[in-house]
Amino acid sequence: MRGYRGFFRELGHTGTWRALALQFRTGAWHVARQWMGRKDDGDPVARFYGHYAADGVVAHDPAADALARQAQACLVCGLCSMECARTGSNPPLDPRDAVVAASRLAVDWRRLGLSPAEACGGCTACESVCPAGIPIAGIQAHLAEIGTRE
Amino acid sequence: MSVAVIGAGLAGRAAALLLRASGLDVTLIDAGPGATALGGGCVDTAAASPGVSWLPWRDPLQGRPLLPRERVQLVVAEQPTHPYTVAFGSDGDAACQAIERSIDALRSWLSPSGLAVEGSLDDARVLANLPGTVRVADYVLTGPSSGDLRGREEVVWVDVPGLEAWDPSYAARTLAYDLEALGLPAPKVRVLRGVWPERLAEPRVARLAPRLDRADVQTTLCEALAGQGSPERLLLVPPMLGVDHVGACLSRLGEATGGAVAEVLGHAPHATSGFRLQRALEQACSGVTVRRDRVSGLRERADGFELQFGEEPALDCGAVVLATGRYVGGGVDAAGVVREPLLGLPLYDADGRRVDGVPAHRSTRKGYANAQPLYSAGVRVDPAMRPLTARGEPWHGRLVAAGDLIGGFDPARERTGMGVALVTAARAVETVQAEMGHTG
Repeated sequence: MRGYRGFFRELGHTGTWRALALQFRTGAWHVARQWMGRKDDGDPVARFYGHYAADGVVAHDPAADALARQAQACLVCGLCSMECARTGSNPPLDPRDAVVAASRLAVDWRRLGLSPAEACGGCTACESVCPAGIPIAGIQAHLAEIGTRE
Repeated sequence: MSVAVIGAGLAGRAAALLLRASGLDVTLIDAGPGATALGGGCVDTAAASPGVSWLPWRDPLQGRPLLPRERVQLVVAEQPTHPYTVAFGSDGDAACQAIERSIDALRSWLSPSGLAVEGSLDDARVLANLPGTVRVADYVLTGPSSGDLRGREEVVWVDVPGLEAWDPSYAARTLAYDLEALGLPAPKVRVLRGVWPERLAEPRVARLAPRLDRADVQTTLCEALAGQGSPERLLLVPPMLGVDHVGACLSRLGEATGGAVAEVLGHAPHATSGFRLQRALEQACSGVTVRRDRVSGLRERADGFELQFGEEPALDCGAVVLATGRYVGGGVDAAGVVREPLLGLPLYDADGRRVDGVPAHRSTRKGYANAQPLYSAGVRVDPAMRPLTARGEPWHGRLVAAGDLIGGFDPARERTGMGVALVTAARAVETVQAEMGHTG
């Protein structure tokens, strides 16, 4: 903790005692009170995400992070869409859209509202033409799984 | 001992087909498509194009677009690092003959798929892009090839309602403006609305193009556009007239409309023509041994090379053709520090400066119209297409390079990329044949 940094400004404006009191309150009293009032209720990361779940923030999943990193190699060339349409399949989420969505923050993923019942067939035709070697079928499956997790 | 070709784009597949034709045992290592599959429909060998650069694209005295043959002469005279110059010295005629031979070979490979390469080095076509800008091209694939704007009285853009990020009236205005600004005779340009069938309304070119391979869908479109053409009028359609049967679709549309119909040139994510080319090349390589894998390492051995594939079993070969491309194909890695990931070969830009080992942004310049050293980065080769070390010696006698991996030119600016891929592949194959003591 950096502490209260306006000490000299306060000194100039309000005098020594008030400045010292503020310094004590921020630098020692507040810290001590936080330390006394701490509760040991499990994983702090889980507590953080518990607070922000309503805003759509999801806990980081190493597998999802790896997929997102791979998806960020996307050139948005559209070859996956073309090959997907050529093989005659029509998934609810176009493979190009799936990769673009997956390359963004994890926050957006649940809002796609996919379900495994609607997931693409997983024929991996899109992967075979991807210049960036992105595991598109894996991303589709992951998005569908996330959609129904909540 | 077999020859391994690493890279399955235009250069790699051309090399594989030439090697197989000469009777050598070839293994093509295919790690997925590269920049070949993202092309817009031109097989660029020499035609500079207006708007992409300050390179001369027309004759300053006569105003006409420069003939591709004249452009090749210009390249070999003025660009010492260009692969044409490296391969043929200042002999422009030899370069032109090599280009024409390569295009003839490409025609024979693509013809079973019904994809024709039209054009010549003595004629530069003026074509339209999907956004309406003008492009000069020497060799063009079936689809956009019939869309030459010269000598047309009327050009009509067919509106496809619901197509995302495309506005035909904007494209029509851009086309009229561009033709006027470039001093080319401008036809009357207008937009044809309200005729595209409801059934074929689709936001994505990529999803619509494969549907137009089906005869019933083609019939729907033919009925919708029936009688809209005339001999003086050119109908321009976005690049979506099928993937595998574009020739059939175009001829049916021509009969139905009674006039000329053409696709415009597309670019990724509308690169239907590039996808067709990649598929046709894959079909042509059906007799070649293909290994779907990514090479993770290359080791020199007493009698050749050993290619490693991560966990997978390694492959022994007597000679290697490196056709790994540039940034799209992965032959040059620009994520962070610029480098050639497979062998760590030194990379040079068009001015002969070494660019590997420094961050990518250090090889860029301000100004969109300026030449970007990063875009011309690639390995340096000797006239036999052997990659050179930093000392200027061949890395190995039986290791040759082909295509975009060879640096010293900027394919986006100069529009010579596909010609370089074909010509360098042919030269690399000659070297391999000589080294292996094999004459085809």
